[in-house]
Parts: sequence; structure tokens; C-alpha cells
Amino acid sequence: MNETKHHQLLSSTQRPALSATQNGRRLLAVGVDGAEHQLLKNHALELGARIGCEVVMLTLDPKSSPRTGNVTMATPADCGEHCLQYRAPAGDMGAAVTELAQSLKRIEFILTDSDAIKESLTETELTPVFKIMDSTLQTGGKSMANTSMAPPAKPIGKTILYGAITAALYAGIFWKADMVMNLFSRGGLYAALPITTAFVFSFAHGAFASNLWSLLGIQAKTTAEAYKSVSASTQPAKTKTKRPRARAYVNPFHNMELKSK
Amino acid sequence: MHDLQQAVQFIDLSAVSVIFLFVVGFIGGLVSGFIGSGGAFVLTPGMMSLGVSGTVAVASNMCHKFPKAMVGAFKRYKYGQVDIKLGLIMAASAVVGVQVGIRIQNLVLAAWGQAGSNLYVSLSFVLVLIVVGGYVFYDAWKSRKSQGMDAVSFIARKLQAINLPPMIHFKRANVRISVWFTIPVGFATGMLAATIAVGGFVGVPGMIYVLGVSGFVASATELVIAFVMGLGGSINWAMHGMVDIRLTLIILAGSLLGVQLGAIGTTYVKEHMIKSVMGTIMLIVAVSRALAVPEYLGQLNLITMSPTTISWLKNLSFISMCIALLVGAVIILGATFKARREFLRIEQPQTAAVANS
Repeated sequence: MNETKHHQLLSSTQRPALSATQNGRRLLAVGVDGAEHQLLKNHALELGARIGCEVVMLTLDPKSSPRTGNVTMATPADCGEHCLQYRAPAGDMGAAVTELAQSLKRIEFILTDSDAIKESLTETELTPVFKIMDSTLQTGGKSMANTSMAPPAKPIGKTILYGAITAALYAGIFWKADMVMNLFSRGGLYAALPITTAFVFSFAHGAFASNLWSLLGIQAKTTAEAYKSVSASTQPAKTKTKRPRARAYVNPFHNMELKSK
Repeated sequence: MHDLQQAVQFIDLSAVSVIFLFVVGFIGGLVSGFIGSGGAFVLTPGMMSLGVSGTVAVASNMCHKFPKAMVGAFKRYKYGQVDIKLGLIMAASAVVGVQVGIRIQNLVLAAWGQAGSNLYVSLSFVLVLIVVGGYVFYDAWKSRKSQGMDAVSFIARKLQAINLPPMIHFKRANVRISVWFTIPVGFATGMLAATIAVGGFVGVPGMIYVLGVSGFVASATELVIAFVMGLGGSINWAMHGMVDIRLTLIILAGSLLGVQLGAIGTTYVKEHMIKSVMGTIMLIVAVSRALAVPEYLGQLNLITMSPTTISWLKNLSFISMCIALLVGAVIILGATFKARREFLRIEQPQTAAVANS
């Protein structure tokens, strides 16, 4: 609060002058104050930079009472040249957005990270409201994209464990190599020995190898992405044929010819 | 069986032979994990060059093949690329193909002796690999030009349109086709496996061009077929006491590392890379086997060549086989790490943004 300077937004003297380089178009990002707010901010800034819009951030404070104040401007803005930050009590959201829309003008659309905000703002019918679809904001269910976004934990313990098991198995076989070869090459029912050994080694050494590559940072793309790269094979693409448009030609002089006769 | 066992001499392992088997195992595994087959064709002659007898080399090679294929198939199943139903149906018909292939081999052996049998194997190699490998390579080049947009082949589209019961829908492969069209592909895979030991050189292109399966799913499903055939063959060889478990485990040590790296690589590259690698390896191997043909023609008294020339050609044949495997490995590693670098370049700023928030 110390860093935040409050003032009346509707006062034209205090209205901020944003750079005119971006055609004066604005997008309004509305989110509740908290850890997830930074993500909405980043998203809005990236989008603003991409489509050439100034960004107006409205942070809703759930702690402050609706009676305590109006929309206030937060300074200094830490989000760059083409960005303004405001704060308002969460209970005053509808009024605050209306106030900003009327005062700043040219707010093309509203961006939010919450379904509740989207619903209540859609009712005001000021401007189109969009909710950002970022998997990292979802609290329920496991998103497929999560696996690629979150840095995976290094499986050091597993690698050591499976490495030790594999090393022990190899040492056991090669330490008593003569006895092993004598038993394993007897044929008949003894065939089970080399087959079982190959299975056991493939489980232990396979798990070790998998963890080793993960430990070295060599991992596959996520399942969803990998599967996306598998092209659909059966259905040949249907080519859209352009239907010819019916055209009527009316000779504007046909009546004149008839009249002259 | 007893006579066969008595004839077998297991070799003493030196450090050089252990390193050689480990490295070839790793590269072979890498290629198998990526294109579904390959690697085995270098291992058998490689082991024989170390002094291992032919039967023990084949048996030990096969015994390392099925666990490798199992690990590779499991890995690629996790990436959503394996069609188990297609793999098992193909494997069932491949087993029949193997039996027929062995019968034909025996007939050739009885009629023309060992040299005739070797000539038959080499000519099959050259013919199949030039025709199929050439087409795979051409198709890869074509799809690379069209920015990786792979179209379903004309034959596959026609066969899929024929409603011949029982029709089967292969969910992961996204193909609905009559089971009668999968059987010949599996059968040919088995026959080739019995003849040249690398059934995947027909199995994978067969699935792509005859059944209409994508390159990713075809190469991953081939690992299921390799597992079933490898397990059956290994049990057979082990019952004759032909498996040298030491050789198997050394190759397995390298190949289980390689097969997982190859499988990871498939999640980064475009589909035409699988065809490129397969086509390249097949064409180089075809040249390698063509170099071995004069030796067998000489043994059958069809041509006359000096022993020095034959020895040179034989060495050149083995070297070019190793080159085929190395070139494949270099292309796989190059393409994987290039695609991965590109992926991380795009992905990392997003991850950093999330981490900061």
C-alpha cells in the first residue's frame, strides 16, 4: 500500500497519457490479486505487444471492502511503457470496469483468468470478454500440457538403484561365467534359464537406461505432442469444389429497344 | 541336438570384443528404436568375425533381440505409437512366414548346397532392399519436399475401401482394413526374417504402403512383431543350447541404452525422417550384399575370380554394412538433437515464464 498512490480516476487531469504509438487501442486484463495474477499479466502483455494494444491491468483486491474506495491507479507501473495498472476492491468489480471503460476509452476487449469474472462481466455487455486458456491456471484435473511446462524432477535415486541392481546382475553372471555357461547351454528345459535371464536383465537394465537418459535431460516430448505428430492415415482429404455462382445479366436498354419498335 | 551342442565352441572374451559388441549393440539398438528394425544384420557377421560360430552368433543375436524389442515397444507404447492389435495379428502371420521361409531355405540348401543357399540369401537381400528401399527413399524425399505432409498410398486407399469381412479397426493406427490384407504383409515379414534376418525391412514399408499406417505407428508396431518372433526363435535356439548368454548380455547392455534413445528421437522428428533413415540403410545394405554375390557365384563355378579379389570384396561388404549402421545412427542423432534444440528454443521461454510466476 505504501508504494501505491491512490487518486480519483475520473479526474481528467490525472488521466494517464499513454503512448500514441499503438493506435490508442487497449485491452483490459482483470484478475484477482494473488500468485496467479502474474501469469495473466504476462499473457496480457504478450498479447498486447503482438496485436499492438496498450494493456490496462485491473487488479481486484479481495481484502478491501467495497465501501473503501474507487478505482485507484498503482504507481510505478512495473509492466512497461504500454501498460497501466489499477486496483479496485473485488466487490466493486462491475463499477470499476465501467468506470475504466468510460474514462480510458477504446478498450477493445477484456481478458480474464477466472470464469466467475467472465460471467459477471459478460452480463454488463460492455466489451467482449475472453478467458485465457492456460493449463497452468487450472486447479482441477491433469492437463496434458502440464508435463511439458513443469520442469521434471531428476530421477537420481532411481538411476542409482537400478544401476546398482544391473551392475550386481552383470557381476553375478560374469563372476561365475563358466558355471553359468555350463548350465545355460545344456538345452531342453534349461532353455528357461537364458530366456528368464534376458527378461530379468531387460527389466533392470531397461529401467536404469530410461532413468539415465532422463537424468541426462534427454526426454521425449509429451505424449500429446508426440501423438500429434502421428499423421492421420485413413481418410483422404476432401477437396472443396467451388460452386459456380449464378449470375443474371439484365440488359438495361432492353425496354428502350422494345419501345422504339 | 547332442551332436550340435558338442560341435559348439564358446569363445573367450577379450576387452576388445566386449567393447566392439557393446558399441554395435548400442548403435543397432538406436536404429531399432527409431525405425523398428535393423542392427541385427551387422551383429551376426560381427560376432562371426570375432570367432563365434555361425549358429551361436545367430542364436545369441536373436536372444538379445526380443528383450530389446520389448523395451522399445514399451517405450513407444507410452508415446502412443504402438498398435498392439495390429502387431499381434501381423506377428501371428509372420510366424507362419518364418516356417515357410525356413522350408524354402532348406530346399535351396538341399538342391544347391551352402554356396547356393548363400547366393539365394544375398540375391533376396539385393532384390528386396533395392526395390523396397529405393521406393522408401523416394517417398521420404518426396514428403520432405512437401514439408512432411505424408499422404496415404494409392494401394492402401484402394485396399481400405474393399469391404472384405472380417474388417478390423486398428484404433491407434487409425486404419480400418480387412484382416485378409494384413496377413500377406505379416507373412512376407516372417519370410524375410527367416531369409535375411531383418523382417522389418518389409514389415514397416508393408504397413505404410499396403495398409496405410503412418511411419511412426508402423515402425513402433514392428517392435511388437520383432518381440514375438524373437521370443519364439530364442526359445527354439535355447532348447538346442546354442545361446551364449555372455554375448547376449553384452549386446543387450548397449542396445537397451540405444533403443530408448531411438524411441525418444521419434517424438521429436517428422515422419519422413523414419523413412529417410530406413531407405538409406536399406540401400547401403543392398550394395553391401551385392559385393558378396561374386564370392558365391565363384563357389558355384559360375564365374572365376582370384582369392585376393574375393577377400577384398568380402571385407568391403562387411565394412559397408557397418557404414550403413553408422550412417543411420548419425542421421538419427543429428535429426533428433536438431529437432530437440528447436523444441527447447520455443519451449524454454514459456517454462521460464511459468517458473517466474
